[in-house]
Amino acid sequence: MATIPVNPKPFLNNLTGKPVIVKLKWGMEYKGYLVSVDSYMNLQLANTEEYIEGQFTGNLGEILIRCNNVLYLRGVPEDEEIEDVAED
Amino acid sequence: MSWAGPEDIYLSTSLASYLDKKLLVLLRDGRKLMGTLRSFDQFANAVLEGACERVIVGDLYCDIPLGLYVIRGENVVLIGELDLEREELPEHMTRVSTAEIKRAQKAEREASDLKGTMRKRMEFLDFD
Repeated sequence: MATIPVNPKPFLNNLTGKPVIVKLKWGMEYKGYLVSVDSYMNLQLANTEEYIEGQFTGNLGEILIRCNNVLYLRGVPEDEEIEDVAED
Repeated sequence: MSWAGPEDIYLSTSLASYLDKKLLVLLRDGRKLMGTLRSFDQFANAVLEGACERVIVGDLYCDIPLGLYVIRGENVVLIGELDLEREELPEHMTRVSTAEIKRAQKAEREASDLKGTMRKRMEFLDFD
């Protein structure tokens, strides 16, 4: 059975308002609600939590992540613990 | 370079909403700058007024005043708005002088360098 491909822009647009985890190239991870995305794929997150090496390091609230730092972004269930994905 | 005013909201994912607000800017080298965002452009180059660097070493911290700063966008990792009602740090954090935090930073750097060289020396031991 073939799966329907979803292109990156619609994928991101569908995730707005939903909880996501953003992993940066430098290892840090940010879990929060995706507020908006622009054409560069800069990301605005709300209610953001920072995780370093899988460990929670604090609440950051509303942040903007510059696009060049992003390794990947993925949608998460709201109650998911980050430790489940700490080892990529 | 044309700097953005409040009307230029199309330039970036709503940096405009941060104008004239106190922000924390995390830089690529790990430094944390705090200040008021006065202007920005499409590269996330930013003008911070009343900027200071917050240095944290363990339970010690110090805010080093810097003044008016233009930050080149390529150095920015993330920008976050500071909640002025909740700006106080946890109780276990102690504010120290600039000289003291520099000493603590140096000691921390030397400790991590030593850790690195120890790891290199022990590479011949195959732990896997």
